[in-house]
Amino acid sequence: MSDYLQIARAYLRGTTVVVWYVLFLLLLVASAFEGELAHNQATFGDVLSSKSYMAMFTYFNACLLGVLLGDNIAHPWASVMPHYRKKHLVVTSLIALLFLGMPMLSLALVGTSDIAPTSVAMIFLTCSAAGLWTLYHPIVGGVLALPFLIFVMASPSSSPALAAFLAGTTPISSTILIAISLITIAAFAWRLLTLNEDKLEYANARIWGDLLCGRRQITASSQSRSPPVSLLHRLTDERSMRTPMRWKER
Amino acid sequence: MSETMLDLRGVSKSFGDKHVLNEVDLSLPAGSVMGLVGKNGSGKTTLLKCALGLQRPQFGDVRLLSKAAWELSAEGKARLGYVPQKIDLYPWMKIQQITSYTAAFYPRWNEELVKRLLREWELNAEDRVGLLSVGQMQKLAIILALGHEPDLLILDEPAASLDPVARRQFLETLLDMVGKRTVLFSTHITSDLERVADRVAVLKDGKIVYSGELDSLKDTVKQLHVQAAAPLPNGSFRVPGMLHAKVNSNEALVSVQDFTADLPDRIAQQWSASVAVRDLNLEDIFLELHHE
Repeated sequence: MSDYLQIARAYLRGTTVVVWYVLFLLLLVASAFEGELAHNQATFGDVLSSKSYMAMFTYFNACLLGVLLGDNIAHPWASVMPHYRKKHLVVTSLIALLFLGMPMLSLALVGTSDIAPTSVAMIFLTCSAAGLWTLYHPIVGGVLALPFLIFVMASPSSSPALAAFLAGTTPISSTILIAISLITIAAFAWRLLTLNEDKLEYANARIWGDLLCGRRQITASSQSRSPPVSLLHRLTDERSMRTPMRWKER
Repeated sequence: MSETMLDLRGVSKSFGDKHVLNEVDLSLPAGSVMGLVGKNGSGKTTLLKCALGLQRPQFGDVRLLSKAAWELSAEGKARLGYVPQKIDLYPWMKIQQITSYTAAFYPRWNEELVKRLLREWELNAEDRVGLLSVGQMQKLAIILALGHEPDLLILDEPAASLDPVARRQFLETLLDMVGKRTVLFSTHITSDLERVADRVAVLKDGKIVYSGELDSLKDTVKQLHVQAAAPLPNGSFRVPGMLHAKVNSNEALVSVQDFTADLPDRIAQQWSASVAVRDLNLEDIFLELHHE
């Protein structure tokens, strides 16, 4: 267990904690005042209801988690340390469930939300999938972000179908979306398990990781370059011709 | 028969049109310390990465600890230590935290060894990684690679940024491992290699031009000083196994590979000259093998 806690340190710090905290506060406020906001049709309250905050909370946190995970996997350690990738995937899955899934579900159950628990799970999974893929593979992420945008922007009051959908009256649609999300999350995990330096995603993950972590990279040889071999050749040739050596006469 | 820790057969790797490794064959028996030398861009890092399964060669077979490098099991990885050329560690972690983090992945971790090396190499466990100098970072990376006492240690230019004292300490650490562990390291510092390695592999333009015992290399590559009574032909002067010759009137300085004891006599007879033989150190041999 302590092994996993050591690894979790690589994720639960800095930018990720700040983003999580801010988004969680927004989600908390939105859940607390949802009833009041829903009655005020003239404001953004109707559009930016708790489902919007849930979607944003999951999506943006998943983006960060995806970048950190990709950055940790796009590292030589991932190929030479035992169980490195699996342990990182387990840790990030637990972080997502504990810090994203559980708070969302708790708020949905405690408040007066008209979003069914299955819909919370659906928002959590679809937005997680979109967030994880967004910066790892922007094209796939872009396609997967469509449900996220609908959850954020669509107004349940002007769209009875969406309201019914969020209330959990169309379980087949929810199940299909959950299944698709699970498949895309599994595909993301598989890409990371097989990620190597030959793949374009490796360099992409490094770039995002360096930007997010501000990590210092050191090239040993860049610090102490040896002189060009041609110069050494010239020097040794001249030295050989001029100076007496330890010759063994035959 | 001792285990072959690393075995590359016909390994070729290219990036686009650039051929970096060209049918490389390399074998590393257990207990040996092998130095890999080559010019910048000769493919040393790519070779080590292919050996470790970090990059996949287009052709050839790489066996690491008797298993396919690409599919090395967790047990195999636990026997492996690696120090990359580009070291990136979490800058916000303290040294003590990063050693704990690294230890989390290994079933066996020698905390005493790590503490001893940190002490000997003057690294403070409470210092933050991001504040370390290049040399300190390299020391830390080496310690992290040694903590689980790997059977096979692969280091990519490990001593390049170390100061002379740290380099000596590092070499002593390597010397302590001789016979107990297998080490493959790339380096430009041929004096280090001569001090600790019992085998050497020379990589030139993506090909291994020599792989074997260091002493054998020194026995086979020599420099000859040929002094003839008459002027020697500048363009057509040739001797068997010649790498490079510099002719100046009736004198010639010739470097040869595949040197045999009778070669000086044969040259003396052919050119009516006296021939003196000079032993070369590894740096000279490296330069002669890379003479264009």
